[in-house]
Amino acid sequence: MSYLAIVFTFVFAGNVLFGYGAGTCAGPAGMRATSGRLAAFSAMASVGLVATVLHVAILRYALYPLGLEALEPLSYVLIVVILLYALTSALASGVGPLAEAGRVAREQVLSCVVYAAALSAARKGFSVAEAAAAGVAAVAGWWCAVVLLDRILDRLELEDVPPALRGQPLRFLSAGLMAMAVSGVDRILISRLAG
Amino acid sequence: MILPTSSRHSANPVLLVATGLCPVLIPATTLQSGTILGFGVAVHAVALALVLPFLSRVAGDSIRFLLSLAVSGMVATLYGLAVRAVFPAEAFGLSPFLAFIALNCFGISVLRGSLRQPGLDRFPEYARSAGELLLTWIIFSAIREVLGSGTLTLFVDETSRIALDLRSVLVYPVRLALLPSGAFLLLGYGIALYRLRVKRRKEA
Repeated sequence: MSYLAIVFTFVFAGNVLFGYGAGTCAGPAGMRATSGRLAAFSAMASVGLVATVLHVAILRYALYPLGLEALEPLSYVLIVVILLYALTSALASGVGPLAEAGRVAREQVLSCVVYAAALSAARKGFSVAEAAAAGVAAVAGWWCAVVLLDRILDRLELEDVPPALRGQPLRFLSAGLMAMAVSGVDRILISRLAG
Repeated sequence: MILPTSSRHSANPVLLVATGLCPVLIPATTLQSGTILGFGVAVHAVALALVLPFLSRVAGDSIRFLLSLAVSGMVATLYGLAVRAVFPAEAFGLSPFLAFIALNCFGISVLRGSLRQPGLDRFPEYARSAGELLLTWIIFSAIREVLGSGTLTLFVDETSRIALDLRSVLVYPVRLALLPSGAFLLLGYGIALYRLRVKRRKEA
């Protein structure tokens, strides 16, 4: 699969928000806070990249050859999460902008968005380089979806929406409609268009 | 993050399910898969609430959180292995989502809460939330299956299948309900209906 197809797949049809529902847990307030900060995106993308590469490498070179794929959650938590948590904590304990980046990145280590990116890349049989592209694309796709959802909700606040639908229900309804809209943009479509 | 046992969540079981559990909720397209995933999340949370207070007493501050994460991963792995043993076919389809149990937001909230307050004081509260969650999950997956396929699978394995066929009543199933987008729409309308019900009850 070309890198372009990987990126399009993970931004559209394989979007971790629309496909897995990952990242809805932050709730509207959390999502809005996250979507407004570029630093948070950079931290999340970095964590997503490292987590996906590590997870795919562990699965590809250790668990699959040994027939131990059932241990996937344990290996992710024991190796990827703990390693990233220790690394980001070490960064956060310093001073200056690097410490701030470490603190922001540490918040993202346990994010289900990062986990969904790693899991979905691992299921596609990617090489380590392809997994890296998939990890960053998955986080970027989630980010775009969240920002778009926020804008839609901001616009809908000006409309005469029934009170029962305001807030979380509207977010889910909008996400459902967006999921339908992007579900057609997948690997096969991109392969046919881009070759 | 707001704890799942806070009043905001307890007051709205649909929101309780939606908040933090979508990655494990989206694949729940049949009653059986919903029960397996929901039971996994509930068992994971209850196990963490039981084990972590004791872990807090023996482990030092520096490694307590990391050890708790390891316990979380271990519980999810053991549950995945149990599902593979009992429902091998179902486990094959659910395997990427069973892995999500290790880091689901409900479990992580219970983990953080248990570490913050050692002892089993909050265990009944967590267990009640897990029970509510499982019940709502089962109802949600049953609604999805009935709407999406017109059947209700009570039990299925490689050799036998027990299901209620409702296609004589529901002639044209709404296939959308089985897709992730359908799950989002159902969640949205579910929360709205719940709000309306609460509002009418208050007015009455």
